[in-house]
Amino acid sequence: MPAWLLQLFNELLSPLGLTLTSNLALLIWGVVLFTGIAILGQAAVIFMVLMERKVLAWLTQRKGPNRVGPWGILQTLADGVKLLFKEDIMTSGQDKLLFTLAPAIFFLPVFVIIALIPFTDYLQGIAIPSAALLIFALSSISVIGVVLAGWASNNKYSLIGGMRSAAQAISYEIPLVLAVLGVVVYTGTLDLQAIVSAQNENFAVFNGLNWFVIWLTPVGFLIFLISAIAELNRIPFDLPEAESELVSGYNTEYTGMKFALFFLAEYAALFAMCALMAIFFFGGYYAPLFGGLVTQFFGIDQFLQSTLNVPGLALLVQQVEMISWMLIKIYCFIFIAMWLRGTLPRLKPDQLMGFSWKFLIPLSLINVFMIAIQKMWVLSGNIPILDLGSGLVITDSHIYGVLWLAALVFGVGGFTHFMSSLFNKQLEARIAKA
Amino acid sequence: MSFLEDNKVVSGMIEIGRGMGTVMKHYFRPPVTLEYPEVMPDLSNRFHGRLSLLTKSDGTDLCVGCKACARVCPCDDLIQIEMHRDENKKPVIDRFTIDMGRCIFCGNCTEVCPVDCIKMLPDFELAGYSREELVLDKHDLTLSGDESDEWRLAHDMKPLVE
Repeated sequence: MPAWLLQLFNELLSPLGLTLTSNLALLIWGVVLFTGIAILGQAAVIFMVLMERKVLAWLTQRKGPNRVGPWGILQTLADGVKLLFKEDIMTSGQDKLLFTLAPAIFFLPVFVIIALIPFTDYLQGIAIPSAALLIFALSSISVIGVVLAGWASNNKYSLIGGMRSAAQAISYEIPLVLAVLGVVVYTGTLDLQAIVSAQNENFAVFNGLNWFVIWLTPVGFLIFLISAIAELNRIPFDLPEAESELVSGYNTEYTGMKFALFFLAEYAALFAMCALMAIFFFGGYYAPLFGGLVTQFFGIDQFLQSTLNVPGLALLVQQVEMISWMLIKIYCFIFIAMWLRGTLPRLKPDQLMGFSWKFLIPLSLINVFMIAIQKMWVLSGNIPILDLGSGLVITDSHIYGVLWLAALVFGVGGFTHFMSSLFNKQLEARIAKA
Repeated sequence: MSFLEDNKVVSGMIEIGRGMGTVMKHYFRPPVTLEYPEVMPDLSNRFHGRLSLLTKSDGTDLCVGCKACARVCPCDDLIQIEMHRDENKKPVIDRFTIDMGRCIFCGNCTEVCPVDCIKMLPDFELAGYSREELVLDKHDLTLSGDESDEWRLAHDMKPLVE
């Protein structure tokens, strides 16, 4: 809890003869923040369901839901009410305990992840220094919910969906974490706040481009984007719930609010993943230009505070700006995920597995290697190694630079060339067979 | 940049980008959805819809009761006609019913009619709450003189004035 807020509370409580100890305040603040962010997360999900339907409609030249409320904005609420009143069907042969537990196991970790995400430098539900690690640990727990749902349903399609989901999550978790590992290696911290501010501090060096994705790890971002979409079971990687083959996959047997929980958690996970993309690669809650905070750069916050004469208004203005930047970035990525869904067809299971193990994982290892060299480059202290005379001195930073370039050309370039030649060989073999 | 295009990884990414670009073009196009009850589809004059009996321009019956339509109809007793002749030997239609629930909208009756009386309108809203409701009698089928003239105008025919 920020000190000024603690002071404010104590001033409010002093007429009652009470004082908050800092530990108790920390506890209460944590609970309040977590609850608030969970509620905000729900609101975001309700908006996202409508956004998904509208965006997909616009991408395919349709109108989308436009009957409930103006422009259909109350459609999701209507759907929610419908799901609340639906019968909770349990068929025979189902494992009743696991069947009921599975949506909760799927749902809960996602909201803990949302609570771990920093929306501003104050607004973070659970501020712990190892958040980046915890997030990926939690995201694999929700897969257990999917597998349990598939198994407890007593339905072969659900079971296939659940098993596919497990296989997919195991394969794509590795490149996902390896892509983030690059960022963690570079910043040297697992704290999401530190990762965000590390990107902002590079403003002076890389004029206006304080995003990791542009100069640190563009390949890593692509890997993260692909793996995140696979991890979220979204098209083109939606094999666990492939409608055309598995009815609806692991949630075929679910009705009413249990189904709604799966639905809610899926969109909340999309929100969380897009927030992580913004944090790890796109500078989190800071603006891309003007030192990260536009209002501070132009003195708008101080101007408002002095003219309106409200203490703490400058801070509030900055916080609002940070949240706005964060939400803009998150919704851009959500739009990209929906755009991909509107464009690409579904993969086959063998393509899915092969793509992860044969392509993404080696590429992400090369990416981590490149970032390690980059980190050494930054840490290198211009120690002269070879004097060529006439003022030309080769230092260790030069060597790291050459190494990095070599890794880029022979690592990424060579690997993609190798994969391409492999593909061509397969193609030739197939043509020769036919 | 043939070096990049030869690389299947890069060219694959370029192709996905092109596909996404094509989809994005559709984002800015107006929707093709017709919101049906509010906006009616623009139907052709030759649409095979509800059957109706045209009249002369003054609103008197055009049908001569030849029963050609009933005979040519492939749906058994779909069209039922009862008629008699008055003292001037003019035909008078007592009963003319069409069971729209069984009609297959083939349009044979409209082709065979010698006086261009039975015709199809571009109207497809024929639903009812019971099967009996779908049996249209002479009163339901007969158009007014003005409506008939309108139909004839739309089909490049002259108004029928005696």
